[in-house]
Amino acid sequence: MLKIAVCFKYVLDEVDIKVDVATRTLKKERVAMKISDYDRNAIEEGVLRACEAGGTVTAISAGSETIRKGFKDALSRGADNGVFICDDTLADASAAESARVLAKAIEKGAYDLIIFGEGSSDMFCQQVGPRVAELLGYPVISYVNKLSVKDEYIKAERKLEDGIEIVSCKLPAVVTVSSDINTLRIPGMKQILAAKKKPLEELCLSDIDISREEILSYKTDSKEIATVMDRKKILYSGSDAVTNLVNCLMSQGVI
Amino acid sequence: MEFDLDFMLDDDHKLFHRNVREFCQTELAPGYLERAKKHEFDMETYKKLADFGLLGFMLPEEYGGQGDAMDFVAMGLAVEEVGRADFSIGYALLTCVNALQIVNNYAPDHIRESFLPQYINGDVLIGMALTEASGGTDLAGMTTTAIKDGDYYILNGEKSSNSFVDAPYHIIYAKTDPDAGYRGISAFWVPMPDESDPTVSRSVFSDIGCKPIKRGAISFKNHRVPAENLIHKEGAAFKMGVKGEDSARPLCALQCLGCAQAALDDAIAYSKQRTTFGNPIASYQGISYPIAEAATHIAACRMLCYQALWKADRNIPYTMEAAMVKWWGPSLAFNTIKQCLLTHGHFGYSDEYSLAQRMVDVMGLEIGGGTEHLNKLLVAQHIIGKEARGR
Amino acid sequence: MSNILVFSENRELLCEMLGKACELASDNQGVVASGWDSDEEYAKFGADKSYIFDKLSESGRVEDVVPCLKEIVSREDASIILIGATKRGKEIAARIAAAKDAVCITDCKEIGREGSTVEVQRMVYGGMALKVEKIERFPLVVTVLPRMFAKKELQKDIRSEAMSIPTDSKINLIERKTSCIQVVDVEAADRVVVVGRGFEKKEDLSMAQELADVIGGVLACTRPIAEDYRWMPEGVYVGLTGKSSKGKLNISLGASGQIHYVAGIVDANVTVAIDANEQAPIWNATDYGIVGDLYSILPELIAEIKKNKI
Repeated sequence: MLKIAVCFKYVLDEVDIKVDVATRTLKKERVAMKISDYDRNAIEEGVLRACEAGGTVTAISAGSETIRKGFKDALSRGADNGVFICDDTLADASAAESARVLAKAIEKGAYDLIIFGEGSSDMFCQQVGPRVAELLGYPVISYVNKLSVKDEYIKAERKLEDGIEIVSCKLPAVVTVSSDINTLRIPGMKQILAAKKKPLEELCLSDIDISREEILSYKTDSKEIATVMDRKKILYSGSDAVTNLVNCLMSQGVI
Repeated sequence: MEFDLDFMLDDDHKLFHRNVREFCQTELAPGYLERAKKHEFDMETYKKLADFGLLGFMLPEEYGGQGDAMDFVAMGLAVEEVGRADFSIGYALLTCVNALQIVNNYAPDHIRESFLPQYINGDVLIGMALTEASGGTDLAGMTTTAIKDGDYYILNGEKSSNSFVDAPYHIIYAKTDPDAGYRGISAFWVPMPDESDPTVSRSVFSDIGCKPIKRGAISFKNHRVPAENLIHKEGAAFKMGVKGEDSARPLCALQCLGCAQAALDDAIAYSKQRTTFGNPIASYQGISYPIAEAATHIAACRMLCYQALWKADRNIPYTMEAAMVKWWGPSLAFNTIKQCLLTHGHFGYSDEYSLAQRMVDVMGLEIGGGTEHLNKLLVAQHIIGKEARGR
Repeated sequence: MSNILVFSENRELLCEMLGKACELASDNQGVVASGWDSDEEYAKFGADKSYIFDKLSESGRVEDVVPCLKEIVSREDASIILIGATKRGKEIAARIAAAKDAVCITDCKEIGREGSTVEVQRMVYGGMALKVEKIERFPLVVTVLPRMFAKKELQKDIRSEAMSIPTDSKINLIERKTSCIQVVDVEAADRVVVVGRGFEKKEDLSMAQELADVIGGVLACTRPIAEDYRWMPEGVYVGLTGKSSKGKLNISLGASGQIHYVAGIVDANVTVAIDANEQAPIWNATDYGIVGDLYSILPELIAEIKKNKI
């Protein structure tokens, strides 16, 4: 019985974030949250592989109370149960902190295959998967866009800058996946209601032998400066639109 | 007047709402305008509704349906988003609450077992023919007859203004007792024979909007239907359809409001970009006030629609609210879209923009599914009483 | 003595990082290069010391170098580790960082040092904001994108050591399929035409190619066109995780303007867009545009330009 763990991050939906042009800050109030884009593909991949090879999928995430609702979404996508490492020091946790905490939770569960998205849609650090693998001493295959599991081995295709690399290794192993690994199925009401009945285990930092001080020691002093686009935003319309556009570009010397 | 107050969508509905919006915008919205211009229902796009589970609304899980997972409020959320993305496909969802409920609740088992799985899977369409050229509102006045002859009923007459006229199956309303008013109306499950059969002929109208749903007429000349295809029993048709009508009304309204919202969003974006005399036109109150008014009315009508559906989910009577939004919603949507078209100035007049198409599309529901007049009469009767009953 | 370590399997990128490493190095810090190239090359661009790895065998993978790098980090007491931000490099960087319990900053746009604090800048929220972080925890791992820093000729005397790579990796290489497609260099182009999902089929891209030809530019695409539809090779997608269009002119056709794409055109001098959706975010990133059906506008645009060129 294949035991798969999929780690997901519940993030702010960047389409809702507004920019305060005057102060160059991001306005994050009243922004809805979502499961990070590639992590949705990771969950889907876990579910597909579990279905094919016969197994279970556990959705794991670490954060503060604000991410609890993410589990309803993750479970509605086909995971069988969830593990939630909850502590307020984990709000906006960096890759280093998340990896430490997730590695401990994964160790407790003795999973065969651990799947991550290649990076999160908010920070896109692309680190947590390989970090967790290193902490656990497991092999890691990153940037995978095709995955298969047979007996105790996985075979994966990695899409890299210079082409495709096809590799295999024995389980247990960690994999990070790209968005083109599968096509997402969007859960309907039936799957959403079914999520309620699935078990959710909660762990606190002491359950995994990590102290708050350790987490706090990774925090850095940082600020975000919104990028402000300063474009002319001139739209041409009507039957002369194309002519006017071309004349404008020619007068600017760009064509 | 007492009212019920519970404004929040629960977490499950919130998540479903996000998902159905994502589904509609990625799978249904692209290509709407192109599809809307053809008298052809795109089965490939339609089938995506099946993949998302929408066609299984209130249908048995054993056939792949949603069981009771989706309630009316969820269906409302879905219909509104579908209406926003591709108006005509929304009609397919309305079918879920009328024709499909009749089949599921009253049709003989052999019909349920063979048809329901096909329908839920998005493989087949169904039409429901009540209206005739002589009357839609005046249902009791229908002239199509179904006369018993041994193991058959013989259908004669013409149904008109029926959606999905070339669907392979229809529920046909006909009089088994021509002298008995609405109590003489029965419903039949009628598989359509192929074109060469002279006893049934079908024609598609050339409509100005909702072309994909292929509204048209079906005419029967001594067409034999097996007696076992009678749905439930003789004279029961009118009562069977009433429940579905009530729930269809807020859904029709939401379908129209979703479409109007799409137009409003376009107008808002346009008003910010388009500049005249050095200012975005949104800064002129002649542009921003109509947008504000439309948004107000849509918000109010939308809330009343969801209140009606919320009541439906709790078996609290909601006929009055349903009638209110059915006369109000489509008309409000039409006027909103027209205003949005005018906001776009002369570009709005082009058929390369979706505004004109949305306008003629929603207009269809000012007529179909119960006219404005019928629904106002229903509201008046509720509020005033029997004195308001029509002559 | 703590040193600065620089690694990449990509020679060009490694040499770009060496100059920055020299800048970051304090008086008693050396710059150590590790890679597969020649130590003369590393010396030319500022390395004081180098570890040259044995050529990888047929079944060897770049990632096999991780144990070697861990060893080098220990030997050199590396306080800052710069790794080229290729996909392989990012995996390697994350693993080294985990092993050394270090913070790792990905895809940095700028690194500076003030006393014992290192300041790093990178894009977040798909390019919506720049995150500036001040770090005082060492070692620190930073991955650096290609062409972020310029090479500097700083000829040094170099000490070199060879290092062999372990062959006991738990991951087996089955096959490598290198892409032989020659891709245009989008980042070097003055004029770029970008196709997005507004195009209905692959064959229609020829219209866009015609536009690119007529303005003397190159054809590129948005990420979904390369990754999801696979109508064009990956090396020509413009966006936060792809190439930057930073020439005189960028024309977006049927690209709705998602923030990931827009992040790739911020440095273009003039941006033009054609899209059917007036609510699309692309308009915020556009200098001049037309809302409409690109299938009717594009031929008109090509004809108009041709007319003017005669």
